Amino acid sequence: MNGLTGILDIGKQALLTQQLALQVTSNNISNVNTPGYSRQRGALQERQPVQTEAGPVGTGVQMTSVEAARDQFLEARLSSVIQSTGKEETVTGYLNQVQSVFGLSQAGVGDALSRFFNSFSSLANDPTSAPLRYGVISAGQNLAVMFNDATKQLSDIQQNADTAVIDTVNQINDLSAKIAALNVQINNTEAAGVHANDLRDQRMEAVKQLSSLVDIHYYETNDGTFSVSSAGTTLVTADFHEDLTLTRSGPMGFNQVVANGRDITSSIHNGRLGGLLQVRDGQVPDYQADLDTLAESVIREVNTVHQGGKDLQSPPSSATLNFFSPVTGIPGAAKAFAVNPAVAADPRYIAAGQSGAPGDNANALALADLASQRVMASGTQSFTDAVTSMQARIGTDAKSSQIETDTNNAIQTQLENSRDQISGVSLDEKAIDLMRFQKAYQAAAKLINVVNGLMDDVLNIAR
Amino acid sequence: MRITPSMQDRNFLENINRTKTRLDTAQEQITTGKRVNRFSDDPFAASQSNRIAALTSTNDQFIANNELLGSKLELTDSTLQSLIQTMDSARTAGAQALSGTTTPESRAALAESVGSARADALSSANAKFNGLYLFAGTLSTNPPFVDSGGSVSYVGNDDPVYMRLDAATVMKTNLTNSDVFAGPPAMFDTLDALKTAIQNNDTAAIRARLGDLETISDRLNTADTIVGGNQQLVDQVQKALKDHNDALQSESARLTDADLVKAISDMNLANDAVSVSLRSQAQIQNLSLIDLME
Repeated sequence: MNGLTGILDIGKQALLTQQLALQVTSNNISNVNTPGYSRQRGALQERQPVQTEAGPVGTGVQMTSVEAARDQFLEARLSSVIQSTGKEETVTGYLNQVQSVFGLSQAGVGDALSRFFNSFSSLANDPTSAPLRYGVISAGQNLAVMFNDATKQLSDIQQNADTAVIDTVNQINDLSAKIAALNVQINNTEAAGVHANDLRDQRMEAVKQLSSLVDIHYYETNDGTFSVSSAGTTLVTADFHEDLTLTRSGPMGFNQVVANGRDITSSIHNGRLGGLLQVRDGQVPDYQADLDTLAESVIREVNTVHQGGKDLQSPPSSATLNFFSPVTGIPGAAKAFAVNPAVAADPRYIAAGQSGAPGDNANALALADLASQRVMASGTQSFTDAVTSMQARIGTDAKSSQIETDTNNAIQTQLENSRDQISGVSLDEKAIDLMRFQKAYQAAAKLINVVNGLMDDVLNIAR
Repeated sequence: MRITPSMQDRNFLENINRTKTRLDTAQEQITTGKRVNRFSDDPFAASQSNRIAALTSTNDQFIANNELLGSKLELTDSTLQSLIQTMDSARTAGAQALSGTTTPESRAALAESVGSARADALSSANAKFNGLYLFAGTLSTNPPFVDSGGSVSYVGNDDPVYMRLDAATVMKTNLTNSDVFAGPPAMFDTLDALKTAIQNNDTAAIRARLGDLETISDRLNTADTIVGGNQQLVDQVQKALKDHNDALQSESARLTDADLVKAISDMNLANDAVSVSLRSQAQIQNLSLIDLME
């Protein structure tokens, strides 16, 4: 199209194009705070020129597409760090709870152990004293309460983690379904030759949320859909999503994660789910085992020495009773820890002596001496050593997890900043865009005004 | 480099959170007086502190035991001193009976004096501490010396009673019949024989018994010396235990107590940093080209 009509058409196209560019800019500004939004850019291009006697002459501008600025590799790296952050934050939270079980206060297992063995030392002053014998019973019961409480609290922490596993798996399934649905929409939209920028942003945001929950790998296929897998199992491919299911098994009846009929629990290492499983199946059971080992050793050693003595019954019992109710093995020892009910009911059953004489304190001294003897860890640790080792282990684990969390948070912030450098909306940049497109729009309007004047001039020639 | 509002907000939040964490840590240290408030603050220091608490608790128990033992040894010492005086009074009576001027009446009085000494000795031999008989061995719930039919028999045993003074020291805390009374010569038999000898004016027997009493006094003095030595040892161990506890407390404080000057300084610095960060963020948020557009 040549002539004034052609110029008018150039003006019209310029108006429409600058208007579109202003719309894209406005959309960017309005989404400045939208999580996961990638700034968009209208791709402006010269229109096809027309041939004139003077040669080809341009016919104005057009917007060929609206593209989003994003870096796929950066997004993938961010997803990976979010997985680690999700795990470490979860572990840190739960280990802080574990720390409170073995707190620094004077009310833990360690303090109760000291009081218990001190009570035998006190009894050695007067093995015939009923108050001192009751003191031993009371200290033994207090020690039992400490073991029982500690093991219950550890068990509660495991149960809480297990409940959180259910919630987390439900969220994973929701997000998988959402990504599959977005795959369909993106595929349909882009099949029509249009960039599905907003849908891609939503999908990336869903992938990030999924990353915070479980360790995933994802890649974009040729048709623009995402394939997402976790622990060797495909979660999403095109419009299909595989729901994770839960089945209860094991001695504690905890939820195991199943995908495609395969138990993948032990293959999940990252994200919140990885953290929950690490706490539930790894760390807390380890602490529980330490506690049970300590409890079983205390029961066994005290009973052995106690049975080597003579009680205050008249005559002394032919077979001295166990001081603590015996346990059959290490697992569950802390939970079963209890003073023998017969001894608790009659403190004369406490074997303070070894000869049967009422003033004999030899066995009370031997029992008190147990506190300092290295009877644990193949004769390398006393009971107190075992308690402090356990506390140091928990503290070290919690500290390491906290450091990991802080480090991951710093890396995540850095990566999010890097992503923002590419995909984020800069208001200064958009302000300049606004001014640029506004000026261009005003110029195009002026052009139409000029053409309008020229047309009037042409029409007035005939008058 | 493109700077977006999200980047500014994110960086601000991260920095302000980090500073507020420092502020929170400093405040916690100031309010608790402790640098270590949970195991993860310093796992080594926390576990060492708990180990020290266990050691201190054990030492406290030793100190309480030793205080009681000190009282027991003191009573043993005073009882032995009393027995030594009793033996002296019996020897004095015996010596008077050997003088050439005694009459049947005065011998009767001297014999009665020896009988009185025997009663005193029996009372001392059945002395109790904390409800238990001192010289009964481990059969300490009943009087060990029984006067039946004019002679004293021993119904206790010679078993030792030990106590642990500290982690390294065990002490025999009792004296028994064989240590003090049984002899030979046996204390009560000697007193009975002396009384009879005085009544019978048997000077040879009186001399022989006076010699026995001297031997018994020597035995009592030896036992008392052992008790005195034990008292000294208990005092030394007590002092060492208290010194050890002081050292343990210092070590625990060094490991876990907050450096309050540093904590207050940290809190002020963090407080200033938070205040400045908030003000600067408020100013930065208004800085945009959009605000300058007409």
